[in-house]
Amino acid sequence: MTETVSPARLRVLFAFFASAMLLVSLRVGYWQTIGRAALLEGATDQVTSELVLGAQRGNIYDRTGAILATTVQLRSLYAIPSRIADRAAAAAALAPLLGTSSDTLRAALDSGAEWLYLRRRLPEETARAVEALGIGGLGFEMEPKRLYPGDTIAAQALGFVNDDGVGQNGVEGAYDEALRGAPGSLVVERDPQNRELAIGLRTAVAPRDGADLTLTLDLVIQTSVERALRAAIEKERATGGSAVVLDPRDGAILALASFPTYDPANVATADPESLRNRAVSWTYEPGSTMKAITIAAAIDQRAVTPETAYDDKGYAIIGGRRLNNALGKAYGRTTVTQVLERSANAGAVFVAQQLGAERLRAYLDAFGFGRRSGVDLAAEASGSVRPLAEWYPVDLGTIAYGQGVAVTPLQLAAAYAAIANGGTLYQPYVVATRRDADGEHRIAPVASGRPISPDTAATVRQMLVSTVDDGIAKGASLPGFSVAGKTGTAQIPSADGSYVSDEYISSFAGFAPASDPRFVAVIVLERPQSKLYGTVSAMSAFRAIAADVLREERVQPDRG
Amino acid sequence: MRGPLARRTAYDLTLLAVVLALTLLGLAMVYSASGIGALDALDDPRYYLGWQSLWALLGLSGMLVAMRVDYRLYRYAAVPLLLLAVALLAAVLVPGVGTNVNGAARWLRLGAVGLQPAELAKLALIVYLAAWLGGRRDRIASPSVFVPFAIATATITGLVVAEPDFGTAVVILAIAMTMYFVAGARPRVFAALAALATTGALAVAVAEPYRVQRLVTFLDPWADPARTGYQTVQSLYGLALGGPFGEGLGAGREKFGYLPYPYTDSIFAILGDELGLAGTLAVIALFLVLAYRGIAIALRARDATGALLAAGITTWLVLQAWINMSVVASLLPMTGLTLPFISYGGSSLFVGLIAVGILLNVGRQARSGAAVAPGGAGPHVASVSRAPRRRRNGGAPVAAARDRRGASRGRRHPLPLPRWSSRARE
Repeated sequence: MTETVSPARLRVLFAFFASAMLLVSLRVGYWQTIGRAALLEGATDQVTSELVLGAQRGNIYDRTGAILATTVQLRSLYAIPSRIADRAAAAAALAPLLGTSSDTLRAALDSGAEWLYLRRRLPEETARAVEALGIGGLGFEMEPKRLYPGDTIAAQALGFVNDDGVGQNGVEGAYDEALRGAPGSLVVERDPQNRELAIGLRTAVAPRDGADLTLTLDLVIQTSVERALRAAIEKERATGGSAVVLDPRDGAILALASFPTYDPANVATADPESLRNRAVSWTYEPGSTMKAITIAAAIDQRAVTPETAYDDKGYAIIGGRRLNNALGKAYGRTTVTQVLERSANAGAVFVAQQLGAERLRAYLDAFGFGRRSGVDLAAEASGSVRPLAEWYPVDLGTIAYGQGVAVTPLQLAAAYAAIANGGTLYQPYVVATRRDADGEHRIAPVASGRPISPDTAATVRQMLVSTVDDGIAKGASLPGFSVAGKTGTAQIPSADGSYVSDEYISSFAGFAPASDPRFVAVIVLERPQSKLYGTVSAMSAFRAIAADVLREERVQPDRG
Repeated sequence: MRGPLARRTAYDLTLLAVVLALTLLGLAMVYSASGIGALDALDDPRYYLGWQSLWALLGLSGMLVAMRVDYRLYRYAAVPLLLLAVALLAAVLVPGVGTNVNGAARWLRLGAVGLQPAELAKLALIVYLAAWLGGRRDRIASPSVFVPFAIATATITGLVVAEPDFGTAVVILAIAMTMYFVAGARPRVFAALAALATTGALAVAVAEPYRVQRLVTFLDPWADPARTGYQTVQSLYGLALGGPFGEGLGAGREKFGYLPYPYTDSIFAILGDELGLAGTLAVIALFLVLAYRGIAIALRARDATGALLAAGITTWLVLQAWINMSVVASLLPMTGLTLPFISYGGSSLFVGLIAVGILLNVGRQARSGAAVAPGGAGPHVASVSRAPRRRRNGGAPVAAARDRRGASRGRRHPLPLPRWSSRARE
């Protein structure tokens, strides 16, 4: 019984144990060193969760500090259908609160989605009512909503913010990055029940809120302009229109209106055409408002003086083509001043011929036509001035009175502002100051050129005053103030390269007081019902706007 | 090799130190791994630490008793102990008596205390087989010896499979096979038996769909890391998060509800997470030392029963540890075994410590000064390895061999070490 067992077999057993332990050491060693990298990402990812800390979008104010756009946090209602005990009952209970049919809600809940929004950004009282239903499987999530306290006021100038928080059009689009700020993040380690680990890492990067913008727009002037434009459009049953009011002294945009318009609260259902900011994106053939530019160029080049006269036969022959005055009127001896007063096409052709195509083209360029003004609004169009090489001889004549070129209302306003302010072309702008964490940044006006001399500007101003006082633009005159301006009636190019018959774009460009202009306004109406007399409505809109602007700006009358 | 203490005691202090180290490390890891879950579920982060500490104290007390009880007395207790184990294992299967956890009836609940009869069964079978095979090595292949061995093994294994606890059944089968091998099984018989056992185990393994799934998952845990492969993937994540030096004791992230069974089956992954490769290798090294000292005790045991007891207990603790760690390292398919001394579990810790006590007692009664190393090679080692064969051949120069060994250590031990019988009476 004292015999013991085979030591050899015990050694075999130990060798077996040693090998087994070596094997598991190698395996564990592999996972904790070489094989570690492949696992580490998954191991860390499942623990860490990153929360985006949203940045507050900046507010937009008018120049007096009135809020034009702000952001509030609203509750969005979501559903996890699998956790709703009775989907039919839930749909029936929610339907009246959300203002949808219970069938639509039922279909959404039964769509098979694991998670869905039932309604985003509910008004707070609706959210509370839904909460009071106490239906399991429903939940709320805060989402920012952009509010425009003025409703449709300056809708196109402001733009809007889409559901994903991206600014579109107008100031919201052009300044999206500044307004949006930078979201922060909070990296937290969590357990599978989504509770923070007591010992976990926590890394927070604070969000940087968006900048607040103060615009050059003036809510009072903007309201007045919109009202005047709307009245003109309704009276004329025009298909569209736009109005721009600039401060000629620095290019600041005081008002910007576009029609048709939309309600920023219901962008989703708005007609895409209504979202367009026509003031900057509508290129149209300006017609006779361009005569002022042609004449300014010729006077600046001393090709003509206001007193230079020609014999008006009612038409002009150029490049083998006959260009007629409106309604074929023949005026006889006509001075350059009278060309504007009578809006004689043949006179504009005469002036352009004195100037020559090359110099006219150069002045169009100097006045900023054919390129973007650089306004700080989204979706600006450049207009169209063909290069000189593509000009036919007749083009010198038609361009002289505003056909064969296309401009935006804002470009025309900027060009008239140069005439008004003594010859400086300013880049129009809409954002006056940006206020962010670093403080307030005032945006300086940018002068982009001096197309004409102060003397020329003064001369043309006087001629435009005559046009209002004694000429075709009488409808724009105001008691107590000298008004300068010019009407324009242009044909609408058709798809086949000629013009649409009997449909026009009527416009008026002007400024006041002419002795010390405080504002420039351009009003453009598309397809007014009164056809060639659409300019009358444009001028009355101008008058209404001018009265409000001059009162708002407290401008003293310059006439007795 | 031995410190001054060794002069005053015959106990294997290295083994004792290893087991104490594992138990203390286990308490720290159980606290760290269970604290979060206990705080959540029971509002008491020290709940599991408290129970584990209590069982450690009971187990250490049991060990202190066991190391002083002459292991040869167990041969009288072997059969009753085995029958008790069988009875308890059977009781577990009776609905209403056994407690069903996660679809397996493995527990007997006595008031607040849950007992796992399978833990007791391991020790009972080892004691029985050591007693049975130890005295019958010359007739090891005869049916009169083999059949009771086979019946005892098959009964215990079968009852454990029925719980079902496949992992423990494999461990029990492997312990029995190892003891049969060490006892001197004829190579051909052993090979046939091993083949049969392997086939049987595989048959049982594929009989249950969830075990087949575990095999499939083992081959590619990344096929479905969120469901079937979840535990494996989380174990590996634990090891990876730990890296070479760990996230720090208590600072692991896997235990926050990611890794299932963090303080029992998967505690090695938490240990790897918090203590890193340094910690995991230390634990593996401690079990390797345990294996070394256990086999050394078997080699020095004064009789075959002692050697078989030592071999059986060592195999149990080391094999179970290896399987547990291998599952965590995805070296083996998923199975629910505790890591001895470290995992939370009263029965496992208590019975394990008592087994170590028995092992220490076997070592204490070793042939005097027999410094036989399992991995060592030397002239006297070679002579020992030849000794049994010579004895089997008729000659019995045991005394001579012992004399030679005694002589080699004579200067350190002027007096022969006290005989086990006299020490047992002290």
